[in-house]
Amino acid sequence: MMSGFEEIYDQHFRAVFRFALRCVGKRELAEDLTSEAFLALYQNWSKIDPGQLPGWLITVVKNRAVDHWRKSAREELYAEPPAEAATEFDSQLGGFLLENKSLKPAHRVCLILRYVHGMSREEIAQELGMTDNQVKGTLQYALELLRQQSSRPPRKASNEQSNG
Amino acid sequence: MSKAMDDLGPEEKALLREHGASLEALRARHADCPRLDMMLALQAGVLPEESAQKVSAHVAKCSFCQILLKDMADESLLGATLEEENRLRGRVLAATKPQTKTAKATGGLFSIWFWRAVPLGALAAAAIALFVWVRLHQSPSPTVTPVAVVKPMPKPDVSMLLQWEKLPIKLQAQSILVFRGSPRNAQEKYASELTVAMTYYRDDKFTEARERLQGVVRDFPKGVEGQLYLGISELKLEQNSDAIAPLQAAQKLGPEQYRDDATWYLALAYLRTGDLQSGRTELQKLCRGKSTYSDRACAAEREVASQLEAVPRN
Repeated sequence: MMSGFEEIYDQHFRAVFRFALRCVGKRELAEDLTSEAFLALYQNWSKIDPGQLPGWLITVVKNRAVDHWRKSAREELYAEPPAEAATEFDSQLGGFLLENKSLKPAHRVCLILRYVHGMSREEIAQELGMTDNQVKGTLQYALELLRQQSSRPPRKASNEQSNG
Repeated sequence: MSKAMDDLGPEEKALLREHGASLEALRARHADCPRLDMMLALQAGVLPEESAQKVSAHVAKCSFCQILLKDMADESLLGATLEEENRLRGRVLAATKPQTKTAKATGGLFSIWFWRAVPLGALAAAAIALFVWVRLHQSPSPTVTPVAVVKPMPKPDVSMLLQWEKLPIKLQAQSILVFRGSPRNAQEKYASELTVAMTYYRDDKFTEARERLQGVVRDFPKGVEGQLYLGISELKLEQNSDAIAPLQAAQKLGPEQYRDDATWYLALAYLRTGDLQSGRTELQKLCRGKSTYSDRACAAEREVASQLEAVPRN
């Protein structure tokens, strides 16, 4: 059984972890949910048809994630949206963060978490599963891009178009 | 979520000097953005309805939250890191093993010994049968002149070995140290460089993995993982001769678990370069042992032996 279980584990754990991370947003918690799903599979091994996988595992993760959010008595950690979101583009920095095509998703996420959400490098590293050095390098690269862009004339047309 | 950044680097301080006002304005406007985990949960459809409505209303109007969510869908940010993969695998498999023992224990003392004795007995019987078979086949028969003797030397064709897979990643605990910041000592530097290299290996990017692992081996020639996975990457790139040296090094360096792996892949490297005799020697080592390779090694060794017997002798 163990070898069959290990095969199934190797086949599906990445997809299950990715889904768990999307559900709870915290990497350690995603690990817990993934682990719990596979342990549930192990306990129900004789009842589960391999054809039901990875759907069965995904359902277990989803149910646990729903429980997690129900139990989390998170009070108003969010508020009403900013009244005029379009004014982000008034600042060069805001425009750069939202529009720069040279930024990869990982770069932009690091920048937003750092400069908009005000997170420390360590917090970002934990959130994104990076090392502190990777976060540092990503921020340095992005700031260099911003510096280069600052030395060029501003692109008014682009800003106006995005305000719509 | 922390709103204090007390770890600003020089580039960031320069940014603040130049864009301080707009940065402050941005942060003030987004001080109450939902947490990233809540937004991801909204997207996954697992947030309770009331929270979902509020977060959804915010995201619908907030450009930064929208782009953050869009970017977070990127594969590079949602995948498990090598460190997480190793930890998770350890957790799951360790948690399932005790249950197996408990289940067996419920059968009483007899069943424990019975189930231990059966495979051991079967193994012993197989070993005896194999020994007898090998001895019989090794004994030259003066009355038989094999037709194969007159045939030209065949190319190495060891089907059981050629259908090979790369070795799954398994690292020693000290090689997957968790640390933050710059590596502080040689062990951490080794772990850091190895982790990057193994990411390429995991993704089957063997050219990049080889390049990184060559660096690891250059800096840390006594690191068994570096040597072993460099050898396997060379094999994957069909650089069979180049694979031999690191695999030999891994074989000498390794604890038993790595030694068997190194021996298996070393045998493959020899066979691929046409050195059947050396390949056979390595297979014999495994065949005599009790590793997961033993059965395959014995079967492959017999196949190689038959090919060697077919070589004309001067």
